[in-house]
Amino acid sequence: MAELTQIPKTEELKNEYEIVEEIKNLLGSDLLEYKVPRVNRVWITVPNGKHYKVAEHLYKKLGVWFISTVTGLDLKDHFEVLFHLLDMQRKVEITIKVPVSKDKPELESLTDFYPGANLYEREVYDMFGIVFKGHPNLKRLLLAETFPKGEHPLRKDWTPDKWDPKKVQLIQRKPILPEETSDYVLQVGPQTPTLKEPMNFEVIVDGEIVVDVIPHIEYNHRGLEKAFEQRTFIQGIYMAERVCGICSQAHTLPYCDAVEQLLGVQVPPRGKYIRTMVTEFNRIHSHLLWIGVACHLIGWDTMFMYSWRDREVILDLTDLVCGSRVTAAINTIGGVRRDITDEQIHKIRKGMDILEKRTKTYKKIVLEEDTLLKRAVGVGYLNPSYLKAMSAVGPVIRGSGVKTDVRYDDPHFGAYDEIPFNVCTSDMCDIAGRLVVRVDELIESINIVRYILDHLPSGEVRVKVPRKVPPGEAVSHNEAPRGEVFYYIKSNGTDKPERVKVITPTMANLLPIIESCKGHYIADFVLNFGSIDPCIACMCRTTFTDISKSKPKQWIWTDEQMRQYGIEWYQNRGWRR
Amino acid sequence: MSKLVDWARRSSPWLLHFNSGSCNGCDIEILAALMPRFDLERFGALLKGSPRHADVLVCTGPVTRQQAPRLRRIYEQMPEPKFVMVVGTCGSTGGVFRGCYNNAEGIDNVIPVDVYVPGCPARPEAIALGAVKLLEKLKNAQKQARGEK
Repeated sequence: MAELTQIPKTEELKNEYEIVEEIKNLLGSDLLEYKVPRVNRVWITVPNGKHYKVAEHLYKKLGVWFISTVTGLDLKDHFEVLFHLLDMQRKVEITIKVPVSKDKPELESLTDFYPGANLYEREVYDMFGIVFKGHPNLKRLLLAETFPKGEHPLRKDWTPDKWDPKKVQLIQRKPILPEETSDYVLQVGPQTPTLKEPMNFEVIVDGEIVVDVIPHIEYNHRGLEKAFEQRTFIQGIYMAERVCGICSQAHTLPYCDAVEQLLGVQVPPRGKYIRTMVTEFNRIHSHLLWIGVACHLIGWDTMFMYSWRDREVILDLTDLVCGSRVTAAINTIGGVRRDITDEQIHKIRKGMDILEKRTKTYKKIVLEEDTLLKRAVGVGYLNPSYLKAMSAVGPVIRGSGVKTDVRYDDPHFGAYDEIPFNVCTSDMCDIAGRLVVRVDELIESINIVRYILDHLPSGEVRVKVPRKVPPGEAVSHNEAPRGEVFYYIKSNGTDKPERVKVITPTMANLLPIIESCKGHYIADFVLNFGSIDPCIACMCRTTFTDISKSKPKQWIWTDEQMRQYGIEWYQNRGWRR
Repeated sequence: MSKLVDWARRSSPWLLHFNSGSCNGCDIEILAALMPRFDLERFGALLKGSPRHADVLVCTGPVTRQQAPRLRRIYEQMPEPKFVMVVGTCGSTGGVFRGCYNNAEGIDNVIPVDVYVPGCPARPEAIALGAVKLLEKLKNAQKQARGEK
């Protein structure tokens, strides 16, 4: 086992060493290794079995309540499981490494303290076959039903089987009965399930009240994490961009940041500012898209058209700066690919003026228009302490008044440590709260873009970097429009990464939102689910089971029928468009 | 009578949008094409929710393993004559996802395709052009079926 690494203490790393000292006092000689590679990062290696004690201490004594994700690693002779925790008070990202033997791949689950780790641990189980003892529902998460049993694709010795797309069988799910619900599984993919995304929910209802929701989201699993390992670091940027087409820029920023940490290069200030600006463009376009979709879901298509029309302004600006409407492709390792000119700056300012005017109108609409308020106020209530326990992220948790934002909690990516901005929150805890937060964030993003244009440093926009990346590992994250996007990258000294782990915000928000659907009417289900910013795809039907009848009855609706049902249900009760 | 039906179909093709595992980039561009600025609806196109109502299947994504049988079933549920339009590079060839273990590398490996719109993601202008090309194809197919030149 490795010896203790000695790093000289400095004043800036006070918080980091405070945590290391705590763990040292707790474990003594059981602490195998620790390192503090830079500000805001602590890596701890502990033997299998001790991680439970460490997590208990961190959770109970130090108040670390947020788990970013759980990563699995195949190191040929043994596995490693990494728990990534974020300490919001001290602004430190803590990674607990646990070596696990290949003969007996078992370790204790941390769901006792972090129920939000539920899906993350299941993903590791699915991809590596590592068993988490004490996990409430350890089942496959995102591989297809037809995937061979007992195979785990992210193991290094796994070879893909040949499957014929023309012959894959459709496996019909068994009809669900309430007694059997524990046999059914929540499934979430590694990508953000958003607009028109393939997703399936099994909603168990009692009359008109939703009792339980079982989503199936393995439809969109493309095997991206394996694909990262087969591509070079530069190609990886474009893979990262296509994890999700809507928050594409939000993915490349942490990816490039993590690789830059491994290379030990600093992005020139101008490059950092341009990156940050395009990330904010991304947020503006995503939030406008969401406002439109939310209004479409309640049947208010006029507003849908308005917000999508205004969204074209920001897409044009992205096109102007980056050369493409949706996937910006402006980030590269070491900086950005293009500089911006004075003429472009002028056009961006003009665009921001238009958007600010429109956003203020939207804010007025959100706060005053009955069409929206009657569907949104008091619906989908989420308790802040429950959200904290589940490690929810983004506008969902901020809509319940918890002030967390990766840009604020760990600002050392992009230029967020130099830019003043507010973290928008709302105390309403319902769909209206999430709406208000998103509209406020639009205004905040416009102000950030303006600040960047006013304070744009001069000089280079990128530095040249070598193709080969020295061995090491790094984590980085970013506040995507929907919440935290997290990247873990391990390099082995070649031009290809050893492992890239991606986690997206919907994974964290899915379990809380299911909780908020329970006890509400079916009519509210679509908007409620929409409020975390995914959308039920057209193809993807919702199966309903009515348990109030003596013989359970099942029927299937498309998204469109469901939306229509919601609109009519409210119209019959006096709600008018 | 068949002439009337053909005219109606040509003037107002109903679309069904299906995401077979894409990154959403193309999907939001398809929607953007239907929005006020590009307004695909001026060609009479209308987005529908059910495959049983649709004439044209607008498809995105490289077809994941879980989606392949579902895509086939949706295609089989559509009434004849039916057309398939693929939007995006990954739907045409697998694109950036080529070589991934969990996808079929293109929609034409699962169902027959009439029009390909490349681009990653395809721009709304390209999608509109693809729709116009498809309408021409439809017109020619109708003429052929009636035995006209």
